[in-house]
Amino acid sequence: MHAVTDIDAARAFEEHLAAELGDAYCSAGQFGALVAYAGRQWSMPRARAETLLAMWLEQHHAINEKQLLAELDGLLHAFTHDDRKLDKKERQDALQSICTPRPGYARGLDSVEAERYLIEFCRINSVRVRVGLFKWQVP
Amino acid sequence: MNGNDQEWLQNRIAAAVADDFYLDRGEEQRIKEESAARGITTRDCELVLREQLEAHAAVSERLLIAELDRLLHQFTDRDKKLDPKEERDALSKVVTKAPGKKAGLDPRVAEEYVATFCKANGARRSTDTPKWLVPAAVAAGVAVLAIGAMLMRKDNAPAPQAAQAAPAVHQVAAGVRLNDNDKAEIDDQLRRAQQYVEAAQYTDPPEKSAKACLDQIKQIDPEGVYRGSEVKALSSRIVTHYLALADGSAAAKDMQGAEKWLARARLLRSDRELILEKERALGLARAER
Repeated sequence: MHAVTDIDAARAFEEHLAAELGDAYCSAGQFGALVAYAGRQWSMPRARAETLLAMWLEQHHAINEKQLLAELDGLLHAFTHDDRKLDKKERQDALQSICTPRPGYARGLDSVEAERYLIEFCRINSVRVRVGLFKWQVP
Repeated sequence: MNGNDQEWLQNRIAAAVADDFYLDRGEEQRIKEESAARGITTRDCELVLREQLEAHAAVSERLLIAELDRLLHQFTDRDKKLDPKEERDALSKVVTKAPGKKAGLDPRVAEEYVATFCKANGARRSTDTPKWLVPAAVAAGVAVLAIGAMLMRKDNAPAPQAAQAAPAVHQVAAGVRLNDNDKAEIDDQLRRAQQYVEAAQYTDPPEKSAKACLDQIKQIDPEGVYRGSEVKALSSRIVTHYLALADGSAAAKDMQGAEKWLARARLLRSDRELILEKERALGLARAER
């Protein structure tokens, strides 16, 4: 059961977010740091801090890098789970899906970050991409 | 939001997802309406909803459909085509359980949404080959072969033999053959119709009712070759139910109500004699029938 003080803590946390997140982009690292701050400052449970932060980002049309990377991960799993290969179109679809700004948003996921995550995914899951005309290999 | 409201909302959501870890759109809408009626703000409701879904590893149908919609736009906005792999990928993404979740999107809901999306956005599905095309092509092929054989026989044999071949061709070309897909569709529609009957959704809402399913079956198998008796029995059951309701309305001197129930019974296009008899008994028979 959350007492009335929780509401005060939530308001204070949201004020803190408004001050911290000026550029409408919350990186995964920043997300973790803000959640940890809420825990330290107001003893807010992690799950509640994460939900509040995600909702705040949505309301302010700010990019939630953590959530978008999770979406990219889900897409890559869906595209590669049967053949362990990521073809050009799948790669393009996955990247566009999260890097293209969505309605109401000024930008999408940082393309460099998305590319880095994609390569990491391929290495961890032994997913091959096309190299040259006929060759497939893990990047 | 006070403590009591929060506890009520948590229990309400827990009750909705405890059995199948799945919060469908209707249920979510009802929870939000009930919360609003208790004076809980939308923001607080959304916050508790998300927390509870996370706590129970449950999924929200609304959010999964939004994700499916995004993927379908991604796949079709450029070329207005949804090829089988794209469709499989999109469905797989939302239907498969995500890590940390105990359910995915209901495949039936997903399939219906894809069909609706393609219609609404003018996207062509490669899997949308008309059902009649394959049997029609086979029938046409058989007819061509038979005609060829008939012409060859005509050259080599007396006329009566060629005359015997013609009826066989006609029978193959004109006969309605149900393939395995048709039978599976009939099984599926019949099962859904039975579920709708159990839920008392006989004719309303029009698109999600037993009548809609029975109409689909009649389109596939107009002669009732496959499971025809079960289809007929289900139609009769609904008609009987409406006739009983008409009786009840008539007993309460509500003849308009009785007429309404009889009109619904007529929609099933089954047991006409029984309906006419009831109309006569209630004094509602019309001259044109």
